[in-house]
Amino acid sequence: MNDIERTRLEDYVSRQRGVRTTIADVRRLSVGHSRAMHRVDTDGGTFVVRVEQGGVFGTRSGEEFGLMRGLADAGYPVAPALWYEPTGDVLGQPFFVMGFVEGEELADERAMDESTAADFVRVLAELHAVDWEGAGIKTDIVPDSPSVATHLQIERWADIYRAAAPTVIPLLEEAAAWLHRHAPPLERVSVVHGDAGPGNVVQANGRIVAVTDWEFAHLGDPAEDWSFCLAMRGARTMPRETWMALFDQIAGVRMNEETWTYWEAFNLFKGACANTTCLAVFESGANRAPNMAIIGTVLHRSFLRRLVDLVGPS
Amino acid sequence: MAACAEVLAASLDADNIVEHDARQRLRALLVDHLDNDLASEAVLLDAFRGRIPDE
Repeated sequence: MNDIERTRLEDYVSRQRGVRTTIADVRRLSVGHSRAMHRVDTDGGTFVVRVEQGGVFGTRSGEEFGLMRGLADAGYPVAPALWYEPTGDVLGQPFFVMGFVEGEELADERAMDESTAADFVRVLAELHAVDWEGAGIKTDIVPDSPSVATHLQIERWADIYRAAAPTVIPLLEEAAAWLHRHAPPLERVSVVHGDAGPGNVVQANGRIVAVTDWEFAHLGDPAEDWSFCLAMRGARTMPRETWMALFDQIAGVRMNEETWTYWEAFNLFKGACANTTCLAVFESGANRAPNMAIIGTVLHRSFLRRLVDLVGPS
Repeated sequence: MAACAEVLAASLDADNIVEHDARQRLRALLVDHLDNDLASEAVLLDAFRGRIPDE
């Protein structure tokens, strides 16, 4: 964050707090691709500023902010979402400000011992049980019934890729058709984190004190989260069998191999679609970081390659 | 590309031999193309994951 942005942020925080606030330090917190996260120490407390990155992954801060507020109201462990700035006038991009949640600093963000992982599984199951209608949680896409929830998400991600990519990607269109055809039945729509697992939590003393990074959250099938943790975000944290035992014992999650495979394919599809936005953002000049070009090309294709094997020739 | 996408999506459950064969050929072509792209870009993936060769 440069000096001009820092001064603008100081003015913004002062206006929101209703009292002149001085920033003592600003430090980049993470290397996340879709949002830049800054820890901001002020004379009025410590905040975290979460800034969009030119449309990376096609997600919206406003939706994320509203969802976090609803979850906090429902008693769920999230950082307090304080203020949302949608115009880009302050930092050049929309952002929101959260209260800082103290936790352990880990050398490897995906590190999590089995006891903490057990607490994470409990917390994730709690998310899926949240009465989102009662809590007034609103998302951009609200399914009329459980039977359409997964289909709406398939189309959401397909639309994001179609808007970002310069041409149709046949293997991705095939995967979308396959996912529609094989979508498992769903009895109840839940809040789904969408990027669940180690690295997207604050942990301290063997407990999960906050779940973070809600930009992929939506209403859908909780199986998406269990699979994402198992096959993607938590894949190198613990062996698959250990995760599955925790899912079963703590959350009662049991799925056959066919269903696990479906949700792994869904998550690879989601990733392959989301990654196309990075090349569009890079080419437009909105974000010229080399990682944008890499995610939008080779990382997109590596997701697609894994997806192709799961969807398989029928 | 749009035509390829339509053929692949429409023939997911192809049950006649001609359709099935056409689908398999088209798919193999697209997967080969994908593999070639991935092979030429492997160094970028390594760089992204922090594995840059010394030499």
